[in-house]
Amino acid sequence: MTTTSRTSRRRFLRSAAILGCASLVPGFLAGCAAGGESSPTSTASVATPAGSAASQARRGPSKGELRTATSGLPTTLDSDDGTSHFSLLSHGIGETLMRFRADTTAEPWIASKLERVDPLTWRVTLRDDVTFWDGSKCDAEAVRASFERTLSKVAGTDSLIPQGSVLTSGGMTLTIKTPTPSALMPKSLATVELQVKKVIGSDILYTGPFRPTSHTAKELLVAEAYQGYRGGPANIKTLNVRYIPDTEARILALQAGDLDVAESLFPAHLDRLKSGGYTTISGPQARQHMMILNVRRPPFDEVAVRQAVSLAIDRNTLATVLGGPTTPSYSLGPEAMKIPGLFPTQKYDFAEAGRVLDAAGWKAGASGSREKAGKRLEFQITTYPGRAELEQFAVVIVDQMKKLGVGVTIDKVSDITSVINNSTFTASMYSLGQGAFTDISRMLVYLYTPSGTNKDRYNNPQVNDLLATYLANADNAQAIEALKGIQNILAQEVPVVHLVTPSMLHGVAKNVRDLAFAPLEYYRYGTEVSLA
Amino acid sequence: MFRILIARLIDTIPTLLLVSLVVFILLELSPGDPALKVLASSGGDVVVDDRDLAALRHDLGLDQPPWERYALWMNEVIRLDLGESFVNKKPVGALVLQKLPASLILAAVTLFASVAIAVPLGVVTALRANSTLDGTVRIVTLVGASFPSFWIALACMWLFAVQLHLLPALGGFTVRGIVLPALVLTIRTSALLVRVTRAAVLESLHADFIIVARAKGLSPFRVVWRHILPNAAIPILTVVGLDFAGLVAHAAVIEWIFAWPGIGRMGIEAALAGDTPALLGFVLVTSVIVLFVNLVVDVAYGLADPRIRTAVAK
Repeated sequence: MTTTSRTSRRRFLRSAAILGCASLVPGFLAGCAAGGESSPTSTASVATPAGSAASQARRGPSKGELRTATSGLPTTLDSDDGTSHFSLLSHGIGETLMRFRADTTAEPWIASKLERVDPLTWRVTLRDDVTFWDGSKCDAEAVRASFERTLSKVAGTDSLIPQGSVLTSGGMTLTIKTPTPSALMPKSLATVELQVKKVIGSDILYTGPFRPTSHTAKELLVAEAYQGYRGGPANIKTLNVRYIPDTEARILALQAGDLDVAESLFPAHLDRLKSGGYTTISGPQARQHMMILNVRRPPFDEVAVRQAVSLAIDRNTLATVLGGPTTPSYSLGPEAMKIPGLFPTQKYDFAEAGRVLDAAGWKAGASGSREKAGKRLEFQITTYPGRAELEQFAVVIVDQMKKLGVGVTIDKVSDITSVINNSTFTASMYSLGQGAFTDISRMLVYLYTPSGTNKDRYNNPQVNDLLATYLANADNAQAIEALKGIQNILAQEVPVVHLVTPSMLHGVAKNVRDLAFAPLEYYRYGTEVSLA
Repeated sequence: MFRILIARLIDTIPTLLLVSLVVFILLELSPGDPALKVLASSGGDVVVDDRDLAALRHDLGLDQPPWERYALWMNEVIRLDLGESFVNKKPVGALVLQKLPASLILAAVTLFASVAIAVPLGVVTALRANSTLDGTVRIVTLVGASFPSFWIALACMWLFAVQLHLLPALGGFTVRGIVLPALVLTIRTSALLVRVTRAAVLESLHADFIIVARAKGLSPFRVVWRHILPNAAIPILTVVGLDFAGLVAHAAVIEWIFAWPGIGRMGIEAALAGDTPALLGFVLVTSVIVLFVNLVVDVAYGLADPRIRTAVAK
């Protein structure tokens, strides 16, 4: 019974997200309008921006082999197998109807225009120069067949195109009619799961600039430039992607000249790469490391303790643990995502932390430890080996808490998901990616309202109501107001301590030109990258 | 000899059953939901709820009781079917066949190099026991056996690939590509083999038959080749056999670092991804290899020592 109830609440919030998020659409459209491409009317649309591939001169012949190593390669070349979609998109094999801009809004990619005809209907007009690798046109019927295959095979994709949606194709126009308003559609159509493909027997054809010629699961992917790509083939003739699971081995292979690009390095490698004369690609990820406090368990059932712990954690020190460009985090989500209405809700003020605890009756004794009614102030931090950096943070936090007079121990578990889902912790290190939507709603649903990851840990009816308003409100200003209201409550209640936003880091040899991994590292290898 | 083979083959069946059962139970007891791990390996960010998770668990057969899953798996194994990988969605048998040659090649090259280096070195250090050479080799082998493999691997990469540019940093199926991973494995394997060979030769050196052989005026080379080495062969064969099995099954760290596409790396990845069928397949196949190599070593004992043949015949 309980599970059903939780699931339905979760379903409600998901539906609400898909229903509404109307608040986000005006913002999203505003972003498009800034580029002078959208129609700011009730029939909103997003069109192909100027400077797109279609408007560019054809590129010259492809040449050279780019050798790169990654920590994740596709297991299959089928983006619908549930495990390979990210690799296929990021290595220039698959494409989506929309794609994320650098500011994380979405713009047409295979599509030329996306229009919201009415609250339930989205109309996608496809570019007429997009072809699959067999030369056949990528028309609306092909996209419809592709989406229906994905929706039937990949778990969770009904959060992108709601169950019960009707997809209608006609020429180069695809119409998506949803059972409930689905304001997140532009971003949904940019997610890795919805790559457009054509299935012929066991062959899967995409529209991307690189066509695989050799693939060994989790070992090697060799792809050649697709000669029929719109605007001309990619500058690189051959893309050789090797799976090297060990980070240190990747960087040594780059230094040895065996690779042109070493992907997914640690921020601490930054100085080593720079001193070696390598180009680095770095920037904040759409992810936040945090410490979740279980407000149902002592000592965090006392709000003053939560506030004090948050005030006493020096995020700058934590950022230096990882080295490189790690950013201290004080907001509900990664600040780099520039989410409208997001503001810092936490700060570092060690002296204030002491005053808060003093006022709450937690006084420092002769030993320096804080006590109240004969009970010491202490707690345990749960961490997990899946993200080793979190354990390092926990060690630093133990030290910082000791200075405050709070005793902290560390407990390591291998399955953090079960611990979080079942709330069997007092304080837990955690890391949450913002997800494909590039919106704050995922974090809000996961952490602050009843959901699979927050079954009975934190539940504030005011926050729940404000989130529902945020997700469903068509008025952008009202949505931002709701988000501010949520932040004001959470600033006081502190159910989560925001720690740092980690950074991505990739090392690139000097001979590689025009390689950019932004945004969200979705689009790593495209047509423009070349070798000197 | 035939009786040795039959006896050992019969022994392998309960051993394999026991190994598979223990591994299955350990996997059942290990924390973490394999379905969640499989979903987490996708790298995507789709929101997956309890219903999706339940569907995946059903697809993977994880909603059945453990004993039933084990029985089903064993039923497939008897028909030489190791099941399908949760992650790769391919038959585990095909994955093993794809990865095994790489591990066998690396193990064979390593063992060849180890024997070629360690046995002569072990003989020489025994013949010149307590000399400077003996002392130096003892220290070097101790260091080689003590350092962690991953550290030696990264140090070799840095030296030979980054600094000297003599070899590629990554492993590959070329002469140059196999040198570094084989070198790292050889350092460790030969360190032990040198010490075993030295001890075995030292023991033989003082035997009566060696004194007789010398008294007969045989050259030192003939004494070593015809009399000492055959008598020291049993412990050396034991170590070589165990090393070979270990190199195939447990070179995972080296395969991981050098991106060598072997079966050891497959085992690590299966464990990390919660890919139970692949992990069970890995354990079963490596167990078979260990048992097979032990069988070969047992036969080799018989060939090397006529007393063992006689004992078995009786």
